[in-house]
Amino acid sequence: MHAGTRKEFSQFQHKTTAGKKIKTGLRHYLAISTKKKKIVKLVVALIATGTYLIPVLWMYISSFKTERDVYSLPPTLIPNPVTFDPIVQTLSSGGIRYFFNSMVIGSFSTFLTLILAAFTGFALARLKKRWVSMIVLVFLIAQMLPTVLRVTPLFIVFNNLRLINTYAAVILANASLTIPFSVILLRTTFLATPQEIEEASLIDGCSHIKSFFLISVPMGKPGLAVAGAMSFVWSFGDFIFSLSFLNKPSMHPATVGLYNFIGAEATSWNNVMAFAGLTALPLILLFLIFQKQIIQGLSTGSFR
Amino acid sequence: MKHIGNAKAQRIYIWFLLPGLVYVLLFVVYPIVFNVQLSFQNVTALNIRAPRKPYIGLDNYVQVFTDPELPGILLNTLAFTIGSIAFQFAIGFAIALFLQKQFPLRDLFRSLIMIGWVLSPIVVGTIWRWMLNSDFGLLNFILQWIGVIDTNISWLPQPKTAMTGVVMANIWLGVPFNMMLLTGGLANLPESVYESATIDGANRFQQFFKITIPLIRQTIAATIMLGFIYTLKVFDLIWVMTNGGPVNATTTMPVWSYRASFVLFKFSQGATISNVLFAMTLVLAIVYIYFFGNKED
Amino acid sequence: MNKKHFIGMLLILLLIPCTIGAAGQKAVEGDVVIWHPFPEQTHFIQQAANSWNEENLGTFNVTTRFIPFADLKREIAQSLVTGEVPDIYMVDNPDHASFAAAGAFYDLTAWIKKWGQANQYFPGPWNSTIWEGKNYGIPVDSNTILLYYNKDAFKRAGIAGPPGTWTELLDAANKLNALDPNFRGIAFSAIRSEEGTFQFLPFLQQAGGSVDAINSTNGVVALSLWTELVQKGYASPEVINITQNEAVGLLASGNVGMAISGPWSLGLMKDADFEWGLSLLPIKEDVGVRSSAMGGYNMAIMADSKSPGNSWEFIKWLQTPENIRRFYWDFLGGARIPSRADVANEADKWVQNPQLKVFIEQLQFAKPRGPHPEWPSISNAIQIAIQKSLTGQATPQAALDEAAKTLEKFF
Repeated sequence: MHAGTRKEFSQFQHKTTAGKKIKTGLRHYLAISTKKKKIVKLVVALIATGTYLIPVLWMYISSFKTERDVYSLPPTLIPNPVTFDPIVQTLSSGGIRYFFNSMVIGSFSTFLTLILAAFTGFALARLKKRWVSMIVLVFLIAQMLPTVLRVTPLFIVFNNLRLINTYAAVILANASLTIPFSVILLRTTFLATPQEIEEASLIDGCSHIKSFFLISVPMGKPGLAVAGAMSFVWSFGDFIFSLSFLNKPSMHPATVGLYNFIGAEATSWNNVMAFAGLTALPLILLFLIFQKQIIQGLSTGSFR
Repeated sequence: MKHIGNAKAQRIYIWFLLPGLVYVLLFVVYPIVFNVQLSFQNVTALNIRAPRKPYIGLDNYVQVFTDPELPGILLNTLAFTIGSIAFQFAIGFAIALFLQKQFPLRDLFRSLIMIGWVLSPIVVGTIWRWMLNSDFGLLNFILQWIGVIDTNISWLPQPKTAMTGVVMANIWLGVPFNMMLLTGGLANLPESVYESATIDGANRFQQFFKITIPLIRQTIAATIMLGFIYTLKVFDLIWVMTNGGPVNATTTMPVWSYRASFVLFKFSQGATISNVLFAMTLVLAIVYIYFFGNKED
Repeated sequence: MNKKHFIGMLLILLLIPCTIGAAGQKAVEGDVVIWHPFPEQTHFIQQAANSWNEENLGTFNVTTRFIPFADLKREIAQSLVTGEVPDIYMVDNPDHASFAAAGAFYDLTAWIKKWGQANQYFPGPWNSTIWEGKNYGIPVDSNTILLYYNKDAFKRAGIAGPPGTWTELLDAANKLNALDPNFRGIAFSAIRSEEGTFQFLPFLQQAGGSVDAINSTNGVVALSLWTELVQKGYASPEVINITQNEAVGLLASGNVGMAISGPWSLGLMKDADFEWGLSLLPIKEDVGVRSSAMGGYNMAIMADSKSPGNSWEFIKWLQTPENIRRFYWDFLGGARIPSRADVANEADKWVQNPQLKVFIEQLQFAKPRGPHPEWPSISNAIQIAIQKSLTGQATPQAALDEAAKTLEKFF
């Protein structure tokens, strides 16, 4: 918790200790009505979540419709008839290839980000120099740089490095967005991890690199999980860099694939929704598998 | 901390620092310098092959600032940003508060809402383009069904409603992230604060405004600031939904810059616009740092 | 793990992505690479390249690469920066002048003189390849737009036949619109891209207007027609966001009674489960000018091409009358009409296909866009005017006045 906040909080606690006696009675009252209240909450949550997810559900419903059905009025809530044609068509028009490309771009960008940002974030948390805050500011500013501003200059850079039309161009460009973000986040993380254990390992003759990997990195796991998840989601969703730096359709990620598909497929919204739904599905599944770690990381309040 | 603070260790940490720093200098600072240079030249499709590009001083900036489209686009940028952030924040906060309560399957609901966060802006934009379709869109149907409207609204083709449509999509996209950041802030508040407050006779509103908000104001400020930084940049979502149209109704600064550079091939004009956008973000950041920064130590 | 090993490993890991994708597609010297915007089955260029490769073994190979229309120009502009240009660029003809002016295209004047076939070409397409008196390409095919319509719906609405005049167009749209709540009279493309301009120009010219005097009464009348179609609900307000293919898509899926597009959309009508037909664009009765937009592609050799000679060989081969007959005629549904008049005039070949016949007829009235090196900016101003008027942000007159002000400096 923030130092200032902590202070305010303890003052607050001090003020209110007087009412301790009534507290027990209150707890008792709460226990009786909890069950009913819990059910009400469950229903509210169900409605709210359901409403929020309508667009996603509608995407998947539309993917199972025929062209005629998708344009029927009033809209049919259950596809009639259920057809798999849009999905088959997406798969046959290279849906899997696009997904593979997105995975390559997403994972390498994340990997690069985590390695570089972990070192830099850690260093910024441990360095005791005056200029540290200046460097932090550089990363903060880097985070603010508009994406469109980067496209032309990076195109020239990658062209000189002969990287246009390689995954590397997109990966390096994505990392230029995710590294600044992750450095700031990981610096906060490593500022909060106890230095005593690191110190002890160094006294035991451990090298700095070894201490970093064996002691500091495991302690910073929640922050690393968030940085990794954010980097992956962003790089996986990248559009403008891939559009600009890759001009081979066989290398395009799902985002560019979908964008071109809308153009080519005219108004067949059932096919477009099938394409969107299929490319989103692996990411949704991946998220549901790792949700515990990601949510835990995100909700420890690493952003401040 | 003898070993962490000593000179040798500090030297090693500088080595730790370097790769990331060099990376940022190469791929972030260089583009800034390059773009500033580009904005003082006149580079278009016509002379992009020429070995030497003419310098034209501040002409590009004069052109951008006197462009009759500028006021409208600035207003759009403002409307998009404020509209998105206000609702993302409010809805995200409401959900975060609600999901703090104990009830069955709570974590499942939280995960389900996070699904919106993993979808890429291109996918979200595509879904919403279909949701908002004038004739066959689900939103019009729902609104008619519950009796809010009598006739279909042409969301995206109408200048008056296009921005609302785009903002709706962006709010949807941003709610989960806001929710998670605020959940993070709320998680640090122990239950006992509220219990004590209840005993003191504070009602829920008082609790919320007198306890919750002040205690997590740092998180709130950070959430809103991150919101500004990332909403000002949004390009893909708008591009896939409206291309910035009709006319310029949903053209924000990033869309304007992209169109100048990659549709009209006026690279210098595009660079100038994105520099102005960057400057706007910087001003906001300075305001933020002035009020909330440097309190970490 | 010591520091050196670690840094070494890091470097190797970072280099992996650089190597993926960097390999492959290294063109063999002398080979010709063509970039084009045609999805499969909509153009003969792929078949022509295959045939060349089969028949001319031992010379050089021709390979083609498809890039969606919306991105092709950007990719070409980027290739000018990287130098990784194709050898032949199939360029949309109004863009030809701006690339030629930028020095992006190879000067073919001397070769064309030696070749001696220039006078066989339709003057409109041919002129689009000329910049400052020099030849920068060969026009290969022309296309134009006309009216697709749903015959069944026309019958149900009690309309005798396709509209011949603007009045009939409005009337038909009105009747079709009334058929069903989810059915509209007409779909066209007023999108903010070249496609929107392409569709608007015929109406502008039918009314007797022109681009250099766009806010004349005639121009206003044309834009008013489009505006009326949208404001009366005969056309969906979504027309400002849809492409020409999407317009035909709406026709094919049974959501509109008429759609305006070119031959490249014919493939989309394959799945239509109703009788449909093609007709010339309706004319404005009191003016009586027939007009349509001239679309079409030129083949330009890039100035940075490493095999301009071979590229020219291939173009010459493709443009021999026998090869034009072979590739253009036999091509399914794509309806690409040769820009070479001597072959295009062998009308009997076309009559066999009733659909193509209408296109040929309409093509006689097609007018080119430009040529003007600033065409993209001109087109942009027209698109803005269309969208302002159709969305009710400005009256047709006000919208065109504004466009005229922007266009002033180009004429």
